Amino acid sequence: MSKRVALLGMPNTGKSTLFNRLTGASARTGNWPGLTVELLAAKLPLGTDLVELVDLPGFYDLHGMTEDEHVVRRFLERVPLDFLVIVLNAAQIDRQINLLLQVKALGVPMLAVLNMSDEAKRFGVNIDTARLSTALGFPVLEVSARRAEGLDVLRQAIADGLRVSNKVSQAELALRLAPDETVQDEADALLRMTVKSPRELSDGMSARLDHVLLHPLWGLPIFFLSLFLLFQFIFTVGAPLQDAVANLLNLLRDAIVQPVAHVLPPFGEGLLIGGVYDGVATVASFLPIIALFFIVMSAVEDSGYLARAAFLVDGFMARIGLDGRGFVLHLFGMGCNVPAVMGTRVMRSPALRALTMLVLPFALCAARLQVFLFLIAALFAPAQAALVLFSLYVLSLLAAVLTAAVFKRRYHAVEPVILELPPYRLPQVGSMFKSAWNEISGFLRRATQFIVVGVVAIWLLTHLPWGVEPSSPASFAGQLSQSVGFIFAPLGFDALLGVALLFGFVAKEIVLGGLAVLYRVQEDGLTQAVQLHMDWVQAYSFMLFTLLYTPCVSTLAAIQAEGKSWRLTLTSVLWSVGLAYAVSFAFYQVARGLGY
Amino acid sequence: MGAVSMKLSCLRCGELASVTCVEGDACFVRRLQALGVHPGRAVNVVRRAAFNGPLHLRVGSTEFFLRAREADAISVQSPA
Repeated sequence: MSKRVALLGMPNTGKSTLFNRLTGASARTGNWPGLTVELLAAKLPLGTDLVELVDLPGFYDLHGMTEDEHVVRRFLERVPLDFLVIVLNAAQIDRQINLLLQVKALGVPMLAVLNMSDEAKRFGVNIDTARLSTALGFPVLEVSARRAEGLDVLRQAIADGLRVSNKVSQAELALRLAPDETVQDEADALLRMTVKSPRELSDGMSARLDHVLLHPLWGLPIFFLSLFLLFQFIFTVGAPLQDAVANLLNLLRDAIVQPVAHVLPPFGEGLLIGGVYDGVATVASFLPIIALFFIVMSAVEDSGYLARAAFLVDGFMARIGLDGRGFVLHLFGMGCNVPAVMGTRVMRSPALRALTMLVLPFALCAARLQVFLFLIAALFAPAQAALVLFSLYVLSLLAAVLTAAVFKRRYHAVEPVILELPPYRLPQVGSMFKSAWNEISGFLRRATQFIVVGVVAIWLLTHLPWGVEPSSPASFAGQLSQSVGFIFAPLGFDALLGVALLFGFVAKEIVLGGLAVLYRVQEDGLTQAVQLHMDWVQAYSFMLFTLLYTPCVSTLAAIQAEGKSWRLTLTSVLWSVGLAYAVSFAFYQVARGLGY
Repeated sequence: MGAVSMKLSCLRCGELASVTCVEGDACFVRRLQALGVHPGRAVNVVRRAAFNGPLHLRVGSTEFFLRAREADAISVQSPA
């Protein structure tokens, strides 16, 4: 049986970087008995043992009351453990040592890692590790996870620690978790003995950067300008990549998939090529853009600027009943709304969580981005492209603000907002790509079934009843579009667009693949088909509707799972559909009225 | 030279003061303690965000922000 080691520590200690360094690419997320969240774990050989290393969520206080702190306690109570590794940010040992002492009181064999020891030296913090280790009675190791320094010594120390077997039983551990005695005096005594640091510390570079980036006047304009430039970058670099992938997938279809599928009867061949392959290929061609988005996002997060963004907007967010964390979650929601909705767990107040969950689905997610990138490329001049996209981002923020303003009375909450501002750090290329890979594979895992089922359903609707002219008024899709056509006509959508939107409820990813099937074209022909079927006013109206209307099924499932309130979930659907209809209607009618 | 007692939210930017008392529910007090804010520690208001936004604080080498309302719950003594 393999031995189990848990990695724990406060947020912003570089714990995850260390976990990645120790485990390489072998980590998997998994469910644990009795825990509501997935934790990252990996097996690695240490000494003579195969060891399972588990990365626990970052937390401040072993006896604290946040969701993450409950998770850590439940994990310690329920999952048998052989060894603990606590990670401290060496520069912040003055306050993190309290957590170390709380964990030590559990009596589980352990060691402490002083990470970011290079940063500590820059701050002028000097730690006598030998003395600290003697006083604590277990190894204390200096490591730099970013620079991969001290890792071999750490592996050896864990292996040595595992050889001494004095496992604590789960019942015993639960008892030891219960008492909550202050460790402040012990911490102060230890610090006096082993740590020398200047009275007030500041890392000069971060202070100088903050002076500019958090400037009361320029801070916000700089933030929005950088956001705009990042989107411009993603668009400029991503579009050619997207074309390349689409071409490759078309080559693959003609060279391999088509000949193979030819053995099937015509109906099966059509379903496979026209439904499954073309639908999925359409979606796949947008993966480069999604990857770029997450690479940029993870770089911004690693740099420490994301927390600054929360600082800059918190004053404003407080006014609409939300907080800076909600804004950061909103930025995450631009990847996918689902993890953002799940991220509201950091908030304790149910009302604040509910309000944030109503707002988050308006974050312009990667799935919607796909639809927009395509339509913008098809119907707008390259010079206008970034501006049109930016306008949609601005509108998504306005919709979020409006939603908060409308619902803040019903979901009124007061919760202290305390957020760390870590020093600025250079993002690491490795972790940027790793995060992009994690997000994309997660996106594919979550979305693939939805996409395949969705495009196949659309293909069937357009090709049944048996023998019907595909997509003709006699097909199921044609009948459906005639019956819903009158609803969408005032928004400028033709009946087929209306059907694509109906399917978009399952997943916004399907809208494009669905359009390709509905227009009976392949991915490379969709541009022309779209240009034939709509002008820019219709396209913008369609994009507005896609931006605002009902969260996809996965997001709704997340809202229901997190909020546990049908009323909240239903509110989310009805409010967003109503808003989408009103906004598209207003835009289309006004634009046409003005003669466009 | 008498020390002046005041709320943290009244401290001027750049001024260093010593924490005397943190009020509020247990959860709030614990979180601040975990960030290093407890009686006896020196705290510095680095800046305030525009539009009555949050306060940027520094305690030791830890920087974080909290809202003015929460900063009201922290009493400090500034060397006048």
